[in-house]
Amino acid sequence: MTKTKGRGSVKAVDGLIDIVVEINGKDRKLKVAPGEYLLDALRREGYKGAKKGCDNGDCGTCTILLDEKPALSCMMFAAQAHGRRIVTIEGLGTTDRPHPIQQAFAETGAVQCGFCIPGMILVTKALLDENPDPDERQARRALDGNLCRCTGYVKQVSAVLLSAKKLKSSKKGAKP
Amino acid sequence: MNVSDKKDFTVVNHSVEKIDALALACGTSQFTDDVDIRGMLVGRLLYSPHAHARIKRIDTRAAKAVPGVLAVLTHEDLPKVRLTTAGQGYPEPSPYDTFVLSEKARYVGDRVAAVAAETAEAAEEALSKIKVDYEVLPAVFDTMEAMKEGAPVIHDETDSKNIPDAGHNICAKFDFEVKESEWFSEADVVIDQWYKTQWAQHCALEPHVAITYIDGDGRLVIRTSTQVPFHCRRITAKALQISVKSIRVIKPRIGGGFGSKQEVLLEPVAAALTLATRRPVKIEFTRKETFISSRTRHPFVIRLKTGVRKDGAITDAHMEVYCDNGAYGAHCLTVMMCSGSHTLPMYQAKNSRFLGRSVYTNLPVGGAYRGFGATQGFFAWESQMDMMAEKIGMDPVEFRRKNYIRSGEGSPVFKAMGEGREGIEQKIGSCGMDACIDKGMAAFKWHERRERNRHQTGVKRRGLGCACLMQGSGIPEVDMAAASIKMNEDGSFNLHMGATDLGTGSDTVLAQIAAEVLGVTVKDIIVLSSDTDLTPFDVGAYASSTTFISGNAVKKAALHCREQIVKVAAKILDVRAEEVDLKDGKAVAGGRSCPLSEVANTAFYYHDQHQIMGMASHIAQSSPPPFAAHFTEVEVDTETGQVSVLDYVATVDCGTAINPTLAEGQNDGAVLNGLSYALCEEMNFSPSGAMTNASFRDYKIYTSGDAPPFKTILIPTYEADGPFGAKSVSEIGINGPQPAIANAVYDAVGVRLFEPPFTPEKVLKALKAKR
Amino acid sequence: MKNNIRQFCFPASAKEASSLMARLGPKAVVVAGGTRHTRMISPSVETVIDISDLPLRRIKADAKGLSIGALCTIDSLEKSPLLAKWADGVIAKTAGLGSNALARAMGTVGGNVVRPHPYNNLPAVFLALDAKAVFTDGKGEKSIPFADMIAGENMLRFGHKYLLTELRIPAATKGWSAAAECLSLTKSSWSSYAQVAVALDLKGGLIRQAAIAISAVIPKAARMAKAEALLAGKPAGEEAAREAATAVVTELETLTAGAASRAYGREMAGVLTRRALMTAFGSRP
Repeated sequence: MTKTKGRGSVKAVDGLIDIVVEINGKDRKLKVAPGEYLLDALRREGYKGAKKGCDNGDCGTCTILLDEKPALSCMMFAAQAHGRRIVTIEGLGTTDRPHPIQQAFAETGAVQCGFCIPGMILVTKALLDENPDPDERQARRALDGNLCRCTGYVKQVSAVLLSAKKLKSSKKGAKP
Repeated sequence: MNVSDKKDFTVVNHSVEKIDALALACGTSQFTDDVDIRGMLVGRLLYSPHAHARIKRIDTRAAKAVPGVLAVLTHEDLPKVRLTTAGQGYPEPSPYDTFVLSEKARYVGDRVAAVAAETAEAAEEALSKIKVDYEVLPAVFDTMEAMKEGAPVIHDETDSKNIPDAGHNICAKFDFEVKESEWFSEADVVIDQWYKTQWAQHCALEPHVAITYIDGDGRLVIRTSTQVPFHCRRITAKALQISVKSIRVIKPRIGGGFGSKQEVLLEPVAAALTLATRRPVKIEFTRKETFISSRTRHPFVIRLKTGVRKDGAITDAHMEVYCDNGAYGAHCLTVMMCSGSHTLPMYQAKNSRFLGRSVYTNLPVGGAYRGFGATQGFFAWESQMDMMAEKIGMDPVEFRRKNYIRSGEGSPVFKAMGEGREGIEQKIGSCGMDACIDKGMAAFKWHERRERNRHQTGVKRRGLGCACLMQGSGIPEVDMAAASIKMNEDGSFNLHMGATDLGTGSDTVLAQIAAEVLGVTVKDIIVLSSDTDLTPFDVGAYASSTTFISGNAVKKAALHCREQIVKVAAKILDVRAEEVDLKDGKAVAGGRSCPLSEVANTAFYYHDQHQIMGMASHIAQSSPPPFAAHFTEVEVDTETGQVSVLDYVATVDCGTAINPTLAEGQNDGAVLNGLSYALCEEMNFSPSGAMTNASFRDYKIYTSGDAPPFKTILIPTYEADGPFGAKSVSEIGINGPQPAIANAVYDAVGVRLFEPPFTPEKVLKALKAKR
Repeated sequence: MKNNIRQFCFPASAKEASSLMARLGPKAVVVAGGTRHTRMISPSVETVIDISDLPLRRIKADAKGLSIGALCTIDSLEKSPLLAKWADGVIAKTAGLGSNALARAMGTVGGNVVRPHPYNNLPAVFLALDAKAVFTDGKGEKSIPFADMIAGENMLRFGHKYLLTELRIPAATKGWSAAAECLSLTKSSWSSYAQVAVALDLKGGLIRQAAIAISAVIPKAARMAKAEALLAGKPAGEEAAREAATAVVTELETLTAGAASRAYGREMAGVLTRRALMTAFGSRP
């Protein structure tokens, strides 16, 4: 799917809008209510990893990747995702084949209640895509839109740094 | 082989990965709201816009006529049963002063009506069409004013129970005195100081949510974000006047609680809507609703008058506390008492007095909140400790060291003050306070920093502060926990327990305890917790009780299971039972061994056929306190009043840390919550009692960017009463930052702060007042 | 759920966007980053014009000055090497003040400046750097001083007709000494007690021209004309900074009608002004 060029317009027919959106690598045709927020649509479609912590853009639990950048899905209308690329936590890895970032968060003890974790992991993914070798300060700053009340963020910052290490070594390993 | 006292652990005291961590990281673990139920209705609540008003009439006709609306309920539709929402052991030591839906509005956010509809929009429209005829009454918002003659009486109804003095808005009182000599007769210095703490909110990232439905057998199922599944079942049954056996409560994964989910808030409403419509119903608080209508940390007004001798002995402690409970009495007696019962024994004075009052006002309701009164109590105590030390010219750390309670010592307070009733005699078992202080000071480089700060000039001044703390581990002779362990043919075990993991990691910690006893790994333990149909009873996750009390229950159940395994294994191996040990998934005796799967299969199919299954309950006879020492350095900008925490070290003696990484995480979280509470968190109210900052944008909690550098250091001790030496860890850390920072600010700029949060504006005002 | 909305348009050019805006008037609303406005859409709106596809994400510099596309995200400002070198990097620094990573990743320059709100952190710095706001109505471009845009009583309405496409900052300001200060409850607070941006044309220790802009303590960011006049021609130094700070507080007294609730913010604006000036004075050897 081409990124954001000439998406034209979408209109409600019988109160619903048809949109096409790439979610976790697959093109999905969805029917959404025009005034529906993306978070609600994603959860309805089964992407329960996106959480509703405040529904006001203040907590980061609903974070997704939109065209590779972190975005608050509670602040966007579902229809705005038309023609765009979304990655949710379900698209990163599974318990059988976890993504190195997911592994790192589990291993460091960064996951307590876990409600904020999908958002934090996606933010980490975006950070490491852009900056594969962040320092502690950069890691801390990257997570500062994702509230957590359980951990004190100490182990989550470690998780970001461990994720970077894991990704680097897995890339090295992949080279012939 | 006595497994009970073993100290060379293979699973316990190891940081095994939290058993649900990866599933949570992959987004597959299911929280309450992560299920789709066909035909589920949306439940919504109507809140009072008035702080105090008599409801003369509620007209729901227009609301019921909205298309898609299936039920509109008010207090008239529900049984007239007064209850407490506090999820405490039965009978709850809180007044029965609450209806599920109120007959009189007592605060802005009081629940007046409930709606169930096909869609959220229909529910919202129905809410807007409920006509409530209010007679607005004078309201009272000040703790001290509320007790005065002539103040508006908030609970003027006649059917509430256990309110000691409704006419003066006093919902709980407790007095205690132990006196060895004339008051203040031996003191060289007397300090008499008032403290005032603020309203705060738990801010669990998952808002409260409950889903109710009727299952195929006609029973009511409540799937809910609760810390107290069994109390939730009992209180809901009472509220709706239905039988306990007709209800099943399921607690899925929970997105944090910190005490806010120790309240039974949404479950009875959702259940009533389901019973009215025979349809599944979901009620989910919005973030705003969690602020205005869930529960809060009680603000306290505390007077602490203490006497101290020049040699550093504390002679007198007069502690007077006024706990603002808001509109209802949830946890009013217990939180108030814990402000004294967790602080007064710490530095035992010869004369000791506690006068406690919990007070109704027309503001949101107080509830259980991590720290549970001890947080407010320690703010006063640890501030006053520094003031006393200064007056007698003693180093504040040494002054504390001289006075804290030692191993083997008791306190009359333990016996006199329990939680809502008399306590129990107890002597301190393990106490790592000395090591907490020494290791904390060393890690913090206390003396070096002190030297460095000696001659400061300039606009920004640095200062050091410390605080020493204790808490409890469960409520002795009240809290009961039970667990069962069933062996499977592959040598794995089902661990079933009532204990409630709300993100704390208790499922993992308790599995570790079972695995240690059974000689297997955590991967061999299949945990099922908190389902009232399937698991044994447990009071739930509160009072820092899970590791200590539920942990002991699990350990006993595992030992019970182990006995049976050993018996079968002895037969297989042809040895005496005493010779058998369980190790690496095998039963071993001398050089011989057999896998646990063989033991299970033998019991299932070959010899003396039976199910190997352990079952045990535990009730504690003591509540061993964890101890902690916190150290901080702050920088105060004297032109802006801004206080920046430069560094923070928190040591904690939690006995054996069953899972050190998780224990650190618990303490980290508590400390950061405390830092945020000390410096920026506060619920603000309009003159008419409406909360004015009910969002995360306006009620700030610390982000990773706001958090100062801080470090948890675990100080190992061994608590004989705890499972494998463990004590509690989850709450204590929150008690430290407020006093430690206040002390550091004084050290930096010579200004004492008695009213948190220490916002720049407030600190600058104090600085100016001093100049 | 917003039940009034019927359609979404994703214009690919500024021209297309502004003609949609002109045609639909108040029945449409423009959404860019979506950090705030998507939750506050009025019930009369039927069309959401999502402008995120417009090619307005460039930051470039030429002889005429600096140009910042209206759809540049806040974090792209913070990370821009070009901005790091412009006027002591004051725009980049300001972009990094306050709120949080997600807001900075989503929020756009346009969103931060077109609707007046004390939350917004960028208006002060653009005011101080004498920025110009460039709009298009589909037929042609229109450029007005940023200060006029901010002062305009009804920017929202203006926004409906005209689409903000870029901010231009005069080339002369590149070598200016500048600094920004902000005081909030916590680093990640959306709102501040006070925020200050100063930009100075300094030569040989003399202040040839000074710009001081204040925000947060007043509903809309504003330049402090009296303090600026006071600085012009003065030697850079502690005394000048103190005088200017006092003048700022006095000017804010008028702007906030002496409201007691604003006293702390006013006082802090003074402190921050002095500090920002001292930083700016010291920024050139």
